[in-house]
Amino acid sequence: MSRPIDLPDYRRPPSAVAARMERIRDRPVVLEARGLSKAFAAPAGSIAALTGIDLTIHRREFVCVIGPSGCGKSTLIRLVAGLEEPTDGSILLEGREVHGPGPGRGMVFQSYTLFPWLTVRGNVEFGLRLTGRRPAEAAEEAASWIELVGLSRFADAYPSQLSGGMKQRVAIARALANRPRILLMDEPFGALDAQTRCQMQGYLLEIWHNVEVTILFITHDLDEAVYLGDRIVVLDTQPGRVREVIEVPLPRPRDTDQFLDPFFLATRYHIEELIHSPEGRRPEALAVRASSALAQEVL
Amino acid sequence: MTRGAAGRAGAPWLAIRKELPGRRPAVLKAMAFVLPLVVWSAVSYLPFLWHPMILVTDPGASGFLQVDDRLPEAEFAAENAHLAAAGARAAAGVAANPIFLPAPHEVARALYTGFTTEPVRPGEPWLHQSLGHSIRIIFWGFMLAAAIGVPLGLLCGTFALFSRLVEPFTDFIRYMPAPAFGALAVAVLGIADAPKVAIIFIGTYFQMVLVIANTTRQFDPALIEAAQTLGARRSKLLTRVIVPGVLPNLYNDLRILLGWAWTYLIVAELIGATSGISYFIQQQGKYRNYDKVFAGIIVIGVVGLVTDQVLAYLARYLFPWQATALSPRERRVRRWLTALRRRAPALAPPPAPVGTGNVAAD
Repeated sequence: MSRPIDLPDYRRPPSAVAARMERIRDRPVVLEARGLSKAFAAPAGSIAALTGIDLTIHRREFVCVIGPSGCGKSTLIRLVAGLEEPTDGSILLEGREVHGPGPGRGMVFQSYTLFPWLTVRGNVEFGLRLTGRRPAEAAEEAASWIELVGLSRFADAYPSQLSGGMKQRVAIARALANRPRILLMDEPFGALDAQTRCQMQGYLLEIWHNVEVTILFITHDLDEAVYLGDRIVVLDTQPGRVREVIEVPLPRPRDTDQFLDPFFLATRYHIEELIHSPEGRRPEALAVRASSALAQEVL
Repeated sequence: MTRGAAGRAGAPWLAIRKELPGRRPAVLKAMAFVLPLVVWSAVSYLPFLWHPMILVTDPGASGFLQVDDRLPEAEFAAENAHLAAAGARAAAGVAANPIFLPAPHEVARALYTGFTTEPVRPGEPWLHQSLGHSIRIIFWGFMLAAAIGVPLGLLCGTFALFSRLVEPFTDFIRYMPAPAFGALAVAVLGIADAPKVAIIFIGTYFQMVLVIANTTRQFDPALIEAAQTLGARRSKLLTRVIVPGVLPNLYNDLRILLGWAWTYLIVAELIGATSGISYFIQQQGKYRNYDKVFAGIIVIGVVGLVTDQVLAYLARYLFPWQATALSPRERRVRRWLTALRRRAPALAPPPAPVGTGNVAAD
């Protein structure tokens, strides 16, 4: 296969980026998945959604997970969140095994999931009140989180009165207010239009820059993954397993100009190749099988 | 006329799943009541429309006709032919409707006099007392059903344990008509109000458990998951997420079930010692005072409609996140209700217990 333009090797980042990755690796591990597998019961036996996923995420790291649809991205994040129990393997949060959901792993869903009966303030206070803050304390903390996502003017609005982007900012504030060790984001901008999505990516990077938090981010958007992540976990499909973990060779802080950076394009190109030609099912093999099937039909 | 108004006037009356513009909804709402009244008035006041009976005004020389008798036209004609053949004085009468269809003004008068005239026999209740009695029966029957049915329905919709344990038997009893329990209720609870309350209870409770369980089950599971990732556990999930989340739908369920309670009222009141508005209707039926029968039926309809409208209106204050735009006057009422809620701590959510950090619990 030949590339349309000459691109650098994504595995040989600029030295500043390499040094940064080195520093990240030295940081303590926040989340570790060991041999994570998940199988779902089906009429004809069980179907393996994920097999033997190993993943280590360091403090303040931004890790994106990408893969073709049906590769088990969402299953992976739901396992980490504790919303599903793994068939095999374990999840360790700061070295301790966790079962079931808890406030140490905040989650932002694609479908917003704001509580419609609570105002923006009420939504952000929700977790704070559950984890034992006094009402006045919770209100004060919630106000500062709402300010961080730039929605102070809408603190008393109900979710139904907000746009999609605003709702997702509330959801982020609500999750961050609990000071989770890791923030899990399941295609959070998937339901937004392209322009709002781009804006939200900028917001998220800004928030991540200002707040001490580690992020595991699921997406199906290549540009989004490369733009946001320190590392990208590329999943393979059926059964879902880690195909490759890519260190993004781009310096921080990131900005939209980097969409044209040769390293950005190289990384993006490589991931595209990975996703569109899954191992063991090369396009040539498929073509041969298809033609022989056709031949049989003709005969 | 402005262009906008002209545009509205030209808007189609039949637009699929679209609200009608301008004053049309209000006009149609009024017409919903006016049209049946117009039909009723036409049948009552236009003799050429129906009026199949003759109301005797002068019996003439007839041996059996009396003033105010109502009989079919053919029979009246036959009697007059008979009298004419005998050379006797003919009877006179006017075209009239059957006695079971009184004119609107007669029913209106009966409505008024029903509340103002003393009962025929001393010791009998006035119309408003009968109505009050009926409302009390409904209230207690429905409140008892809700006091048990709502929590149980919520539990059934939340926990499979309760669902599997409670719902099959409830479903079984649901098919038994509540009036079938009448004789049993009287035997157990006597002939006073208790068996009547029991019939209302039986008529609504079993439906309520199943309906509310179903409503609870339809609650968006993603919201429960979101709450779990925010640290909510079993009891908090129920009180802080599921209950407030299903409350608007639950409220609507109760509104519909309250209507059912009224349909069971008539049966309930005929059990044991007949009482309430049904007693009034039955008595008046016996005396052939159909204007008063209609008055009684209309009173039930009005009470039901007014209750339902008040509850619907109240829902907009109770569930502001669902409300369509409120007028300034409505907003004032809401502020007042909010202030009331703040002053009544029982209605506010309980303060969260003061605990330690979140990671240790995770």
